[in-house]
Amino acid sequence: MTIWGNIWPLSILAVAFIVAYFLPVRYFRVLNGLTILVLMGSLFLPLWHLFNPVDALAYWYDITATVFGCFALWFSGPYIEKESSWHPWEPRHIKHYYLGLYLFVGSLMAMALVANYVLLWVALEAATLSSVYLVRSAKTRTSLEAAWRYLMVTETGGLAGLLGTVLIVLGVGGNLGAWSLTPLDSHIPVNVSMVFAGIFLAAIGYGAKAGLAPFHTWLPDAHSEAPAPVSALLSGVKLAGSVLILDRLFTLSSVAIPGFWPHDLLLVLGILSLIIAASFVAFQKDLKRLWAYSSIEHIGLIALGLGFGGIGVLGALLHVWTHGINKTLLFYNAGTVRAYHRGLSSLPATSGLMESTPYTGGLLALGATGIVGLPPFAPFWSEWLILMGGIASGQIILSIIVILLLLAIFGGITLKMPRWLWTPGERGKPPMKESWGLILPSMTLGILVVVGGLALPALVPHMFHQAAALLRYKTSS
Amino acid sequence: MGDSSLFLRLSVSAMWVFSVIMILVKNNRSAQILYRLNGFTQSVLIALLAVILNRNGLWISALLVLAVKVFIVPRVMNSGSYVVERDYSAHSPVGMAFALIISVAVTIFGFLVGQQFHGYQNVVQSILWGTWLVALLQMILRYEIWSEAWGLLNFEIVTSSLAVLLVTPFPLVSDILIDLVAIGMALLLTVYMALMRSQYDSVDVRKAGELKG
Repeated sequence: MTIWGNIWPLSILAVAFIVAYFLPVRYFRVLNGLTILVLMGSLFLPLWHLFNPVDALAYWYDITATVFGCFALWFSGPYIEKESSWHPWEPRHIKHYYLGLYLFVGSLMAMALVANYVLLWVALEAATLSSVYLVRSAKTRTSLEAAWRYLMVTETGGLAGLLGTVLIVLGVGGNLGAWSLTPLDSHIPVNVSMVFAGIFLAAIGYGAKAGLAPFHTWLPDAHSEAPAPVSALLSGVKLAGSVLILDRLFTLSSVAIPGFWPHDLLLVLGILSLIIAASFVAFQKDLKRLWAYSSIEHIGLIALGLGFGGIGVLGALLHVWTHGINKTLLFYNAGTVRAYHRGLSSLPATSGLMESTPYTGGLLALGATGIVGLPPFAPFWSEWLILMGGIASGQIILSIIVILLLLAIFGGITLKMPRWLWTPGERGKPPMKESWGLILPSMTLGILVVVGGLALPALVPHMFHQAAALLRYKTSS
Repeated sequence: MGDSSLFLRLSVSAMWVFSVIMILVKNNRSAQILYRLNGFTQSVLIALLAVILNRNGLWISALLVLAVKVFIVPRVMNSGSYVVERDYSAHSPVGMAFALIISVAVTIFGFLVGQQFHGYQNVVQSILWGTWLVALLQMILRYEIWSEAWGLLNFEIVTSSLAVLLVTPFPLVSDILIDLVAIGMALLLTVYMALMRSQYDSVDVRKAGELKG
């Protein structure tokens, strides 16, 4: 019962995958609706002990993966309908997209629910391979280049990550076959050199999967070429999941190494990511590439929060959620813009969105205001906690550098956004008919950006603090 | 026991030799042969471990590796590699000499790293660490589409060999899943390799450049 009780919601996606394989494409909306209902229902089952995630952090990440997975299934309906008409896609191609999406969402959930380090690596690999397939969905030359680079960079890193995982678990005297993520009482002496090597290899491997600089080279291409629901899942869920696995491994390795220096690696990777984002964000002409560079910034912030420890960990975990809802909103709107402009989301062709498509333009403005960290929107609070974590841990200079880089990124995005929202010097673009199918998921996310960012941790404070406690939350608080 | 250790050393040395030659090969067909040889060497390595450690579970793993890496993956890759059969590369002798020198340098470094761990079969592990760095080097030094694809698959062989040697009782379920990852990777590589080649005049993947917004 224990292992099955930990992972059984994965079978929902497995059943959906099998049914989708045999079902005609015209029934996919019904199948998606049913899958969403059952998946959302599974999130409440821990209340009655019908589903027991292995620990609070697993439950926290499962909520994130399930909720955004459901959004992806919801938004894919109207979005793929549009995309398949302009490329055009055959029904077989649409079916393959959904099979890939079910596999991707299932792997993301497995990254939360599996309680074995090698199987976590396998889940991350499954998420990578399924998303590589999905990135090439558009079947264009640019999407092929993006998928190739994504595959090469992240798989090379991933194999380094496998060795890193093995070395850390062995180095601390752990058992690779055990169904547990916490170190068991072991009489095997620790092997410090093994753990050292494992830490570096894991940082490279999971850093590449997370898109942390300097391993980020695949990210802007993959995020901009993937269909919008996939870009949102990559940015909001997969990147954060990779960093959380890395931090679990670092926390495990601290058994063998006195002090917390492995977490300093997260600070280095985090600050490098902010520098890369600040350097490139202002020069982007494509909406999806702009949000891709913003994803590098935010995964860097999550790494910084985990590296700071203490209250920074709370901020980082909250940021997984707040960044997820905000970035999903932005990628969906970028996708909607592409849907209206037959695959284009670059300037100047897509300027004047407030005039031509006021709902999409308005939601884009809301998302952009949230993502730059302005109060009272959800990401502001988590970014605030991360910075407070930096100050509380005595990293004052680093915190000041982070603030300066955030201001630079704020400047870059606020400089660029008006060019999409309005058309200076013109009368304004003629209005276009907006699709409610595309607007409704974004509108729901917009509401969550305003109020929901704080609602979830407030609803489950016990679980939230327990999740943070697994990652050094207690150490400096 | 002494003979077994010798055979283990011979098999990982063969893996090192095949990996070094793989950096120098000039075409897709040779790379494929070397990949098969390395897959076969990995299954021999695991079979030797099964004999030495008296662990019957490792026989299943050895057979699985033989099936996947000597037969299934090359067959999958073959289905899309017809488009790169005529591609040649690595013309410069100076470049090849440079690749060899770097390979030896990283091998020495890998050997020294392996010596630090004091694990099971320390010398064998150290040679394998050197091989791992050579396989990684291929991913950095070579840019042809087919070379990158075979390089990544070979890197997977060396990595999983090292993982099995580090964790001699490697959990069977994990082992099977890691092999499934290798098959998935090969499937995507073969399809994308064929597509990339059909869209480019050059075999050099750097021509793809970074996409522009």
